[in-house]
Amino acid sequence: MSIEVQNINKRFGQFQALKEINLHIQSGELVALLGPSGCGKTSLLRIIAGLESPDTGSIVFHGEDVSTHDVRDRNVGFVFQHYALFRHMTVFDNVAFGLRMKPRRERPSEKVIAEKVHELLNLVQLDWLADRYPEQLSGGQRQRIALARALAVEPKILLLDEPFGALDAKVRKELRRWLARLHDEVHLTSVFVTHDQEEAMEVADRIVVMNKGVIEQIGTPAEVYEQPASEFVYHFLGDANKFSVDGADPVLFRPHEVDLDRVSTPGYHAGEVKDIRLLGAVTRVTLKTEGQDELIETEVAKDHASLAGLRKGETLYFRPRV
Amino acid sequence: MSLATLKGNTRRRGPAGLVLIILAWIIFGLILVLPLYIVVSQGLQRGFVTFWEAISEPDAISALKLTLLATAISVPLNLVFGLAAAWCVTKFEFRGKSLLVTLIDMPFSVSPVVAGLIYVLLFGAQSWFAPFLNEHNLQIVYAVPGIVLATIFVTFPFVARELIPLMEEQGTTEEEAARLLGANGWQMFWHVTLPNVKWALVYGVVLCTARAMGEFGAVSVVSGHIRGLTNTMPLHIEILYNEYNIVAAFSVAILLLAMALVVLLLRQWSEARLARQLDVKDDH
Repeated sequence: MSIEVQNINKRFGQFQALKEINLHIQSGELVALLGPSGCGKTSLLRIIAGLESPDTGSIVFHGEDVSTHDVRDRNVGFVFQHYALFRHMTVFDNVAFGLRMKPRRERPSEKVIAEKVHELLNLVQLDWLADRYPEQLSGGQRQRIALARALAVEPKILLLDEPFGALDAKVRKELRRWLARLHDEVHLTSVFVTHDQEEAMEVADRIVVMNKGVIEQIGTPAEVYEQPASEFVYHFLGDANKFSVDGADPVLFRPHEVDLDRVSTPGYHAGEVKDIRLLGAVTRVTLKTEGQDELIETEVAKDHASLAGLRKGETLYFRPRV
Repeated sequence: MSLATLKGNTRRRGPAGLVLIILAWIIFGLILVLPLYIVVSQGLQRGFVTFWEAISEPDAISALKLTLLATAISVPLNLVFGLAAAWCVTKFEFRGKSLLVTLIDMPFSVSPVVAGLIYVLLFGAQSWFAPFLNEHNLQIVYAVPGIVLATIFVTFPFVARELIPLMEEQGTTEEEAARLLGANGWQMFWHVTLPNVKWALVYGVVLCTARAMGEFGAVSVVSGHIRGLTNTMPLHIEILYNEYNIVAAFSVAILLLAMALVVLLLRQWSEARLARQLDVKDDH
């Protein structure tokens, strides 16, 4: 089911949370709303879900304007940042909740509900936790139960608010790969909010970069990374160096977009080595150049020829590859 | 100093600790146990038969009935009001919210006598509403409705005060989740909100009941002290005492005390359950 966001504006008191937001999400797509905190991404997600109402504009699901529809009638699955599992219910009852709340004539029998719940718990690989209470689960398990609960009512759209935000780094990595695979299996139109560019790049088909209530750029991970529409997008999607020679317009380049050499070469600039850090497969060398306070960060393969025997305080020559 | 000696020191109480504990027991005995003992011994000094006669005479029975009636009406009403007030204050944002919270607390800060007077001034013979009440032959002050109203007023904050902090801490996301999963307002309340505050609600109701049964000041002002008609148990005890009918006064006091003890046990039980619920949350 496609989602059309048209001319959405939203104010909280004096604060303009969203300005003229227009966005088209295709059926089956997995889209990330990416931006720093306070950029309006969560507000937009909540407006799509119907938890907040916009001041102007409309939300259209598959050609049908749902702006005036109540939360209950939009048929969206929603996963909260802190999961919002019902604390007094078992995992089973949490997942069964949506089915049990259906009007009597649509409600499946308890037997059918039980089958469906176990099917979903198997999908998230946690069937063995059915009788536990949320407080007995780890963060990653709660996250997957929240997802199973959202999927139980067979939503046409899945919305996730910072789905990995509260997890530790390793679980987060596993879970986001798992989510991407799950999306390939169930193929729901999915939108998730994140402030982590790596997460957005790894999981999403398309990324919507937001800042201060407006959309800065919409594109595939490759597009927003390679052809950023603004300096904000460039900076937000990865580490960046700003380097200007003799008062000319500064060039922007990423730490790995650089050539290094130990000897002075035409087109290369001198920098004093301030720091050398081995980061697994790559090594980061921090350089200080004449006439610029901002340090330059470069990253090259750890066996790069220019690194052999390099010490702090030596001079290294670099050329931005732009 | 090694850890072992430190531990040994804390286990072996010093003389100061011993003195404090003995002092605590003495104070406990003097201001709690001794008065209780006196009430019970005075009530029973002429034997169980006299005690039984004092609590089974018609005026005492009618005072007991009136106390139970006032409690039975005011507690359920305050359960509903308190729940509604707590819901409204914690789940919605609106202008004048802090004023409303202050107003909920007002019965705690207003003297019960003043609270009683408010009702006399509102519904008494010289009040604005007097012509209307006379016309429809309604009696509020110096009658059962006044007693119930006064009891509701003084016990109003108990339920809301217990619920507000808990509901504030729990926030609204579980309710939002329920709505997103298709629950209507009633289902959301019944399956999500209510179970989450269940023990705090029980605790609030117990406190409310204890206060409703024991209320003296406000009820005294609006009751008019008509024997067999508008006397609650605390008022009945006062009248008996003022008539130097000490044995009967203490006999009825024993009964009121017994009722309070039942409520106290309920309180202990609900408090333990509530503490367990909060504990579980604190772990995460």
